[in-house]
Amino acid sequence: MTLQRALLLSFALVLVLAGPAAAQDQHAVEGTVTSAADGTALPGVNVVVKGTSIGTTTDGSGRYTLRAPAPTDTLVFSFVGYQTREVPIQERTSIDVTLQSSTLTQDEVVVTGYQSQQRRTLTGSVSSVEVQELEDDPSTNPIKSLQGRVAGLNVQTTGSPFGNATLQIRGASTLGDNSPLFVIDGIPTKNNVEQILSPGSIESIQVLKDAAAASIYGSRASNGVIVIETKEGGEGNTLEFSYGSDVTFSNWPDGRTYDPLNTRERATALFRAAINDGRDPNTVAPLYSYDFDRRDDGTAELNDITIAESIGNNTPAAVPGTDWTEQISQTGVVQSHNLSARVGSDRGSAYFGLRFHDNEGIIEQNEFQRVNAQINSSFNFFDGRVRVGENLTLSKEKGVPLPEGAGGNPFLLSLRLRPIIPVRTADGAFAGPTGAGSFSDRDNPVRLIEDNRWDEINTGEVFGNINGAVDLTEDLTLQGRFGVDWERTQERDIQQRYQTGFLGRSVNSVQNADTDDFIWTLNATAEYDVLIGESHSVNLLAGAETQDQHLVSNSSLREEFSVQTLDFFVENAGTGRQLVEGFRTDSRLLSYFSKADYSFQDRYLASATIRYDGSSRFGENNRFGLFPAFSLGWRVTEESFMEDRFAFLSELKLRGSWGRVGNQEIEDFAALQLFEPGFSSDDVLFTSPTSTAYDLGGNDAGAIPGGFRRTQRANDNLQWEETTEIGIGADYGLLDDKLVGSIDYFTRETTDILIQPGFIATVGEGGSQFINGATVETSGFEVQLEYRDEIGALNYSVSANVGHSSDEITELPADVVDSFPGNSEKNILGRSQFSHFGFVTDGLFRSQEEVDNHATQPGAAVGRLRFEDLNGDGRINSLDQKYLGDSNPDYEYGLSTNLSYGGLDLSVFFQGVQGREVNVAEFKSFTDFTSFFRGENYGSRVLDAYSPKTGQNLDSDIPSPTLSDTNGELRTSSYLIEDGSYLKLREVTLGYNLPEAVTGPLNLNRARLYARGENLFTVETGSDEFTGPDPETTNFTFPRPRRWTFGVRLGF
Amino acid sequence: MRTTKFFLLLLLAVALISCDSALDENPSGKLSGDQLNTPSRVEGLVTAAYAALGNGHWTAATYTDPWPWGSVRSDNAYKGGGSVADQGEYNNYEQFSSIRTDLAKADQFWTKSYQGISRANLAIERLNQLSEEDFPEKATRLAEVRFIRGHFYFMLKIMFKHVPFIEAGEEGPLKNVSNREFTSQELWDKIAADFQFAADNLPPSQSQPGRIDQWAAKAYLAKTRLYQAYRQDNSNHQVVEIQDDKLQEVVRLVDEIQSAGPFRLFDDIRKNFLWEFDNTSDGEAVFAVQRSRNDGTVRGRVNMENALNYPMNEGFGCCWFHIPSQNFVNAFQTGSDGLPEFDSFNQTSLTDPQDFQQNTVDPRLDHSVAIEGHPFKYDNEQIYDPNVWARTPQTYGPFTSMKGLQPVGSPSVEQVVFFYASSKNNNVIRYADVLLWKAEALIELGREDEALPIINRIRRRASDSKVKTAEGDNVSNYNVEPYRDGQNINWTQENAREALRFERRLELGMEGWRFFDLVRWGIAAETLNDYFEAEAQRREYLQDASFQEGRDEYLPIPQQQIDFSDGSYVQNPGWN
Repeated sequence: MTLQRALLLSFALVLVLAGPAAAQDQHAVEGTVTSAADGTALPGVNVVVKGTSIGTTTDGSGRYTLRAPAPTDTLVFSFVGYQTREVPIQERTSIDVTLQSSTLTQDEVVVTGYQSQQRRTLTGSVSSVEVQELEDDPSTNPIKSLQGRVAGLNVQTTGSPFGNATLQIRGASTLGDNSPLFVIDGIPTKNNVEQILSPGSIESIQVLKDAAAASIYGSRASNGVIVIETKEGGEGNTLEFSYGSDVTFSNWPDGRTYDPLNTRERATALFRAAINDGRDPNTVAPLYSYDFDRRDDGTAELNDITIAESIGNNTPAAVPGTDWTEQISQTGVVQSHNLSARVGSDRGSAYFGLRFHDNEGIIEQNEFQRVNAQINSSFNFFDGRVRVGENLTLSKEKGVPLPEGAGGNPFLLSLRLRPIIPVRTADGAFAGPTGAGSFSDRDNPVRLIEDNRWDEINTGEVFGNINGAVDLTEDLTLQGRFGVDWERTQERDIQQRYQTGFLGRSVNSVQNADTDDFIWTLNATAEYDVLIGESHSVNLLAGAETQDQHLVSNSSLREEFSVQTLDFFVENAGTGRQLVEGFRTDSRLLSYFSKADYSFQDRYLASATIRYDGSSRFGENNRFGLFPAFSLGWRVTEESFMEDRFAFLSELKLRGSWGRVGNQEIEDFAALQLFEPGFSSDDVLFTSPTSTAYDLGGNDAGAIPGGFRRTQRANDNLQWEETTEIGIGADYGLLDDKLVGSIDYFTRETTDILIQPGFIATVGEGGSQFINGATVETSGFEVQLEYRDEIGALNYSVSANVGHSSDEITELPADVVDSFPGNSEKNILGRSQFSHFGFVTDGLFRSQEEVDNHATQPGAAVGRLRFEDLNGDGRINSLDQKYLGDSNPDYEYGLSTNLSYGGLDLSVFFQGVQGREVNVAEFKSFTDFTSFFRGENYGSRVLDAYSPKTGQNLDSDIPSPTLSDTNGELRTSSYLIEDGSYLKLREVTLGYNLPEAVTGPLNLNRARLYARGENLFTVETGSDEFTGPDPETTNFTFPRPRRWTFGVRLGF
Repeated sequence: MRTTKFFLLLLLAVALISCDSALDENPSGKLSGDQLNTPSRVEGLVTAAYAALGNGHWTAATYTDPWPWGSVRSDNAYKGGGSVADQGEYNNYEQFSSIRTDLAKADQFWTKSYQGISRANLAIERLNQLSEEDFPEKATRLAEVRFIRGHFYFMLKIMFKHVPFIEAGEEGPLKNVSNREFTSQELWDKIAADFQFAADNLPPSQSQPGRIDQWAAKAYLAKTRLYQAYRQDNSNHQVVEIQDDKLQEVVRLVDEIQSAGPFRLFDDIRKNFLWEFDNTSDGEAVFAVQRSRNDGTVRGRVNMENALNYPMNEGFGCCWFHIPSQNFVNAFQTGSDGLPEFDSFNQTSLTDPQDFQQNTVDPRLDHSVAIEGHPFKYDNEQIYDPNVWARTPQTYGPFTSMKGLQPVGSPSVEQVVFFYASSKNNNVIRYADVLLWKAEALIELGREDEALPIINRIRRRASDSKVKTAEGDNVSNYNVEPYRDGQNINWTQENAREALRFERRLELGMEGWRFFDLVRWGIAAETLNDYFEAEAQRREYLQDASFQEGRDEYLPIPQQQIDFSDGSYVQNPGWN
């Protein structure tokens, strides 16, 4: 542990270097801060005396007063979204200031981890998000709206109201979890806490993209870091309130639904399937009877279809058919109300935010409500040299999840359940599949929704910290933080008795599950600033951090309730079987870190970071990892030779960095050989049991003995995964910073990637093992630029960003190669981990002659897909496969423009991805393929399929409908891989800020009305036609709805 | 500077917890490998190996009730279900003509079987580390788990022919253990060695009826030797030799079981197919997998292997798989002499209710097949109506299988969400089967006269197993008689062989072994292609079915496993 000591020693050294503070005189200044764009007053602007912690905030009419230590001091005016200005007092007592709005200016303060820095001194790659643009977003999860906003940040999300988002920074650098680390108010978390933050209470979001920027978070930073700060109280004597309210309506996007067949269409499709298979349609379709003429050559012509009047079980046949999607859909309504207050005084300040959010999805009953509160406060003592504060986010959430029935959730069921089934039987009970109708075991989704209305997920979350800082001297600051991240989830699942057709449940039950996830974090840092002479500035930071997680979960199940009401479904009221389950797991992290920043005349910048991390997840010998990083910056525009010749360049900074970060995102106890009792397997309906219990006594019932099953093989040498990244970049400003932007290039290598590969079956049960195996290389670039100007009273800005990243697996242990797509001749090495591997289709067989002339292909027949014999050996088998692109997009981009004129503002935002191959097997199994399983329904594209024996669609490339897919047409092939590129008009917001003439008499300092539309249209920009409803959410993922929002924001 | 002290203390606190032990955490509710070394914990590994027998599932791992593999692939049954595409891979296997090497179901069967083997091997490894003093049951438990391992290898062997044999504690990468390390005969010997060890070390009876005893081991050894006796050539699975020494071992083992074992034939065959007679001492079950419900587990340890096979009527509800073929039903016709119609049985089809009155049949039909107007599982309150109970009679005909299912309302039936499954034990080996092995061995040894009384004993029991209506009448028009040499048959070796093979079909049909019998006898291709030719006229979905001799006797080695093996596995003939 010599390194640990060295770190502590360097920390102590920082303490010793502390010098004494100096005494000062006083000078009073006052003034007004207005926006340069429209001259309106800016409330909430920070005004600070440069080099001190003395400061205030402007009030509701933009006014400030403050006492500076000396009349020669300089005031710094900063406000989020505006360029920071420094104004020397020069003995004046009244100073009015106008601020230019900005995004990428060099004066912006960036929170990079354990400290904040001005952008100009940054040497790593950091993107800031314009949080103002999030404020109007009615999303459940503020992170969703980052999609397309930050170059190099990929956000994938669906239309579910619960709305989880998957994030990736700079592509996928590892094979497992690629999600970034969040640091919220100084506390690191991987628990998706960001989702509960209310957009209005977020002060800033920074995306730390490269290893140099992220390495201070060492062990968990390999996927990048997103730093979020919540709002602080006002400075100086302030008291302001704001209120916002919005309502959003959402619907399925036009033309982007799945269009299942109706009863008669389905009967027609089934007829074609039977005829093309050479079968008698009347032997395959119990509820339809066909009148048709068959010719000698096997072709047939359909004259008429008679549909049975009843499907059995006292259930009339639905003609033209039940539109199940319509039956379960509704207009989604989202409401939210935000109330916040900022207070400030000489001794402290506080921010209170309260948000109520009610979200009803576009599927009935699928909804949730959330109340969250943000309580931040800070107090200062001894002229601001000692500061104590807290940040606290509280959230309570209650929702009704989408139920899962036989055949999946209601959305899937609405596509798959046959339209001939009505919602209700003749006597008003819910209808369902009947034995006589040869239906599949699929639940009536309307019944499912109704019976699951009492299901509930309740989540309470506490996330926060108490913190303290002390300026021992003007240059030396100590800081400590104790954070808690506590999530408690209670789920209730009530299953009622029912009988719909042959599907039923004779025993009702309630299951309650309770999960408690508690993490505490303790960190402490010392930061030391020193100016050596006039030109050399050094900032040193040292710290330590520890984190401890306990996850405990319990659940109970009780059966047989004589009364089926919500109030009666508690365990004690049940009379039947009772079962409990539960588990617990623990993990710990311990880290030391140190950072040094150096700058020479703000012109040459250098930074070095080192972090030493230990995790309980690794084997005893390899618990600690060392993560260093270095970076350099050169502000070229500070050089004297630049001034005349390159006057159009207002800013140019070149950056270069090298860094190493780690990853520990594997299961706890990943290094050990593990056995578990695994007494019971509950999900035995569709998956094979893994129980260890056996009735050795032969009693058929009662307590039977259980044993132990292996769940994991040991790996004593398991250690950290490491990512080494080299990045270069430039930040630039042209034409007096009217055009600003940045450009970055990076290359990464991740080695010793933690994987749990598939394995040969003879290894047996519990054969999985975590190993440090693979190497992945990623490289890419990001360009971000923004132009802003004004024409008279019209202010406008146009910004664009584009990111590219490509990943490649360069090394895999021999044992592991086989668990990636490939065959015995071709493997994934040198390709993206998201590669598709499969057969190449060469159209359809259109005659028996074509079948006979083709290589031996089991299942080949007229109308079937023809697979190419790639290796020319005369037979189609696993060797006839190749790589068919990958699902990692080549480019992701965002385009936006903001216009403001007087009180009106308009923003338009487009987002897109380009060059992304997706596998649409699931969707095509619904619309094209053809294995006409009689229990289910299909998409209307089936009617466009090639049907030679009934004479339809003779030019179609869709394989003919068949009763049984003996050709294996759902195997991965080029027929299923499509270009999923798209460009979407993500949002258009029109806002109006009421003029002071209106707001003044009402004592309002801000009143804003706005309307916003989301997902208004999609352009498919792929190289071939995309057959799914939405290239963004492919297959049966919940599509993103179109939404309309109307809102108001008031400030007092 | 109180605050300074506070921060220094904070730092100290962080530094203090920095000792390495701060990162020590122990798994909760789990044991790490080195904690598994006491007798009681090793007992847990033995129990888990038993439990593996009960972990079969309809998705593919039907390794104790192999209806998809041994019955649907034979002339006895169709896949059934909602359509040919429902569990469509079974349709590929049923029709043989469109099997691919990478289908998932064969891979699942393979994988799940090796999971069972690994449970046995882990138990063997740990048992070997215990001393007899610490654990007096050591030898017995070793014998039990080797039996269990033997069962899984036996099933793999009859499915895939050449499979890797993994020993306990095998070092080195298992992908280097080839499926051709042993010849087919050597592999049989390895499997026989597991059963031999079990037979040598197990007591004649165990205090817990669920545990395997010596008789089960001897019976399984006999079964192994019987299969091994029919030596096949390597290139196209033709039976090239019937080995007398193996047959003699079968006869010797069954003799021992008959003379010293506790078994008898039930007076009525139905007792084999009803839960109430599970674990009857001196009954017919030789090796049964124990099933249970209300046993502390979430869904019970019920038989999920045949959970798809219940009919569609209320009280059950899904999904009508494993449907008796018309050919199978026809096979129960008897002539006026009470014997099967060996050559002509399939010329007329028995389908409508009156067909079973106008023709005579073997009573075992009404134990095996649900027929319109007949009671379902002996319950005269539950009269089978194909319009309600069957799911796709247009495709798969009007019948429903019964042997594996329990009656409507049986206390053994558990509703698993919306499927049904029962706690009726799976009979893997029952005494009638054992007796017929001996008869088979005797016939092949040229001692067919000694086989005659065995077959007749089975037939007499069949005759005693009439199914009655509520009024006490026979449900069908029954006529079954024993073979009488020189009277109703000339008991030559050839005729005896035919009688034995027919008897096995009638006695054990729908119990999952027919296909493996056909392959053992070397008549799979001829039997099945004849069957397809006639049956496709009745069930048109079979029109493309055909069995390729020399290939389809065994499944292809799963492509997924060949890929994992980096080429150390050799594919079976005909599949490349």
